[in-house]
Amino acid sequence: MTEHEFNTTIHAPNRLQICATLAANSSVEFLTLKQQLDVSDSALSKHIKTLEDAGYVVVEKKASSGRQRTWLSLSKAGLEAFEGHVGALKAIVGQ
Amino acid sequence: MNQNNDPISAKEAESALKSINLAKQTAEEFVKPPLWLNLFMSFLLGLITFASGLSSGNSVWAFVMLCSTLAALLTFTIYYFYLKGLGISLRLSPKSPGEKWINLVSAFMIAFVIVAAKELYSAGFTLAPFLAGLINAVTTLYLFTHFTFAGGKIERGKGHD
Repeated sequence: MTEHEFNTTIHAPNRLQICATLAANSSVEFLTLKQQLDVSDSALSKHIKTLEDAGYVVVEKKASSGRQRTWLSLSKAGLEAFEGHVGALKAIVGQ
Repeated sequence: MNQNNDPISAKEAESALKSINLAKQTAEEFVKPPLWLNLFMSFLLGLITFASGLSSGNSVWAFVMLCSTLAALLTFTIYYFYLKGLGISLRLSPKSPGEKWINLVSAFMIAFVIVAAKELYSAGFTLAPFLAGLINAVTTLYLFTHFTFAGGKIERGKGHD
């Protein structure tokens, strides 16, 4: 993988924000991410599935206080792809 | 992987970067400790430094240092699990070289001030622990206000045009 690579999987607006939010934290719960991005359950699930299939997002289901919580985090490949994509965007803008 | 040499215009790229910055800022604002907690943690680190400077041969100040260290660790742990309850697991380990550098420099600086306060107090400079406590408290407040726990710079305003 090149250092600054434009990535169309990540470039979709909601997926960009998902990756930016996940990159800033170790992991984020599905419901918290949904509230932060102000999207519906189904839209977020669809984007997460796309990112998971690409190997960029890791989905973990953990039981806590009697309820199931879904935690999302960026994989190493996801972080590299996201940083590469940001680098590509900056190169296009000329930063 | 999908890519080509000229995929989008500069305007679209700029808009995407703003969107990324906005999401990053929202995430950072969510985990940023409130001002009272920043002030409390800074006070505790100042107290640790001050008590450490006075602790040579003085069991009372050694005890104060121990209690303030435990209080700082406990406060941070409670905040960590509070955020976890809200659905955010804090990133504590630095990833980029810049984050690693900030962590290394700030840890070295704080440790240096603690050691210097102790040595200067032993050499007869009685104000040293107080000044060192003040320096470390202000440094901690600055770090907590301008950097994430992993050492990343908190950028403001880039996503709100």
